[in-house]
Amino acid sequence: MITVHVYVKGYLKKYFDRESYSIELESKATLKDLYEKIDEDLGKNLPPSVWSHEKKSFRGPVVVKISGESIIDLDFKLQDGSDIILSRLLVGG
Amino acid sequence: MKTKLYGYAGKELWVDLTAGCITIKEIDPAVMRKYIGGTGFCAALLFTELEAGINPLSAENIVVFATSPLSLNKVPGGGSVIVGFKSPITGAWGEARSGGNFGPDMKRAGFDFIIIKGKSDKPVYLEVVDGTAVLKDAANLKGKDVYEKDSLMKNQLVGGNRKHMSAMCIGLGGENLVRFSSIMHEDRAAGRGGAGAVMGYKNLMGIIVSGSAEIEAANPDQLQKILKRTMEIVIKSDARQGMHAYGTVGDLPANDEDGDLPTKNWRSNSFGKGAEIFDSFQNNNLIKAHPCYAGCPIGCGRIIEVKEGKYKTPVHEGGEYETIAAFTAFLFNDNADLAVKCDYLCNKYGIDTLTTAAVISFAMECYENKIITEADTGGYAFEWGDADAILQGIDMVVNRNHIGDLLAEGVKIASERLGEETKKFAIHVKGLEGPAHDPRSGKLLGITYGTANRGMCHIHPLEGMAFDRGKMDWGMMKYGVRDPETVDRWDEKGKGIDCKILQDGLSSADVLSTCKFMMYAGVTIDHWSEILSALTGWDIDGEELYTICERVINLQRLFNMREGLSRKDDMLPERVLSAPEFGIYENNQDCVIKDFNALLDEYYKTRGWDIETGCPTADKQKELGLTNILL
Ligand code: SF4
Repeated sequence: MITVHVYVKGYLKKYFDRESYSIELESKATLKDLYEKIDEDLGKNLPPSVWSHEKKSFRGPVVVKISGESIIDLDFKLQDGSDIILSRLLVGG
Repeated sequence: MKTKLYGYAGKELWVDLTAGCITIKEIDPAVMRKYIGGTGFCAALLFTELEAGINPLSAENIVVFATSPLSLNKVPGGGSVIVGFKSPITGAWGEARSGGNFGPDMKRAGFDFIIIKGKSDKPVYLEVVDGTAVLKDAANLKGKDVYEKDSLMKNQLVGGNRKHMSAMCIGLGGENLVRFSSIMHEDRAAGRGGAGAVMGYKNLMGIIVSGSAEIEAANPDQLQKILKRTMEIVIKSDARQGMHAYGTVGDLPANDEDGDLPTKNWRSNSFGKGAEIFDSFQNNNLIKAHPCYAGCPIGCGRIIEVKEGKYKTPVHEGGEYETIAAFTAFLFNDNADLAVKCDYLCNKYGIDTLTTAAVISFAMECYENKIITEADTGGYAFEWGDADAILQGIDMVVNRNHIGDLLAEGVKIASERLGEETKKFAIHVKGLEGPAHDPRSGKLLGITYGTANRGMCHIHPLEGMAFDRGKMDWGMMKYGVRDPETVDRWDEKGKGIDCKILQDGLSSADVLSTCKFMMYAGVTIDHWSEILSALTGWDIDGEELYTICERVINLQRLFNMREGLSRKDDMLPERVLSAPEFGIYENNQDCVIKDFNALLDEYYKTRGWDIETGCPTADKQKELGLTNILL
């Protein structure tokens, strides 16, 4: 098993009950597995404006940074102790 | 001996269409130092050259295409051009920005500014190549759509640099004097306020620019360093990641949930279908991200299509938040394909997507209330969300058929002609229809909608929603804006002060003719001033640039005052001040703007404007060097 630390930043904070979570995953877990876990544990509290229950992923411009790098590849392999930052900005248009 | 002006091409191109005469003038270094370019130059020129009270659709009006020293592909956001004019939809200050290569290519062609006066007695277009310009017969362009005009001008180009040629043109909307016609640069638009109609009146179908001139920077090494630094800031920013991956339309679900999505002609501030529409757009319409000019580090543009079915639409660039939101929520339509088709048609005909959707939603409400009937609409039932009504509505507006002839005047004039009972359906400020953000989601947006010089626009109030809800500060806390994390979106007190500071600071993007989204991705007014200083050799810091922006906003305000506008024209429509009629915020009193007059007082006081009239005081004018505009 590995443990990753998830931090929620910016506009996204209002949807989570805490600003950080430590989440346990299987040792070969990927970003997709983390999303499955988020859906299972926290998904019911996330509104459709930010979370797609069908796709089990964020909806709209949520940026995922792992160890400072922005990651979009769902197969990205997570490491034990990784810091994962979730943030969302509103820019208008 | 004249000192060399670095960063500029050095020339203004004056085109008198009545006389058919073209004049090239050197730019005035003192005017550049005072106003820089972009909206600053437009304000100085239009204030001094236009007589008060002229008809915007007359030979007397002037259209200015303005760049700045930052209009270079290598500058973040440098692929922009500002168009300045007296607006035919507001009768007041008009400005619009288009992204794309036109601005940088105009400088390559040898000009910082193109100034169009008069009226040609036959259709013409302007060809600007390597420091020279010629008016060409446009008989074969007349009646053609935007895409056709663009390729005809490019195919007919003589000489120039085919790697660096850009065209802007009007569509049928401009030719038919639809008051909210845009000037199009391929699928990008100088969209709001009706510059396309002004050009159409002048019989000017388009402008093509091409050239190879290099712009010399005063301090090339310093420039390279600051550009590298700002590019890195943008590329590493979360805003860049989000906008590149999802475009501006990515905000649709969150805006809907937060009450920032005007729905059914502003009867509500939420639609409840934002997530569904966004998913449909992502799954069915989106092809890829696209930068509007070569070099943009963000690339918020979208290449989109509707592959098949009733709303089959060719591949084009579009799908911006404002357009998709307007052609869905405004009209109570939940079909993203239909919105994409409308987006394409507006681009093809050269009409502003926001006002087009707004006038159709106004017509739908008039139809619902039996103020107009099928006798006015060519037999179509203008029911909410009705696809035929929406598509026919666009056609009627562009061709000025049936009710379209009235709608082509915009909601203010249409409502005045249809009668008092329609006034509450006409959602506009100063005559410009509201965009797709709703101040019933955060009060800063309300005061910016009221006071933006071009009316209820989507550019100058962007900072309202992003401050109140998005908690962005754009590096403006050092200029006095409050920490957004400490501000409640529903509060009113203090927002008049925040508004003034943010308007001045963020209008730096307009004065510099750059893209404001760079400021969302971390470029501050201080970074802009460093780039400007390296390009020109002037020693301008953020504070001075901020003062220049304040000067420009005040000059635009004086332009509006001279046209007879006053405090009453800063008021918001009653519906926008009131609680939503339905949706998740139905009757929610938090949404209500309780004391808009107090907000205005606070804003005027902060600006140094007269509380009664809203006019910049003599002291304020003196402080900003506006007692003599050009000195
Ligand atoms: S961020 Fe978007 S609008 Fe701005 S210059 Fe880039 S592509 Fe154009």
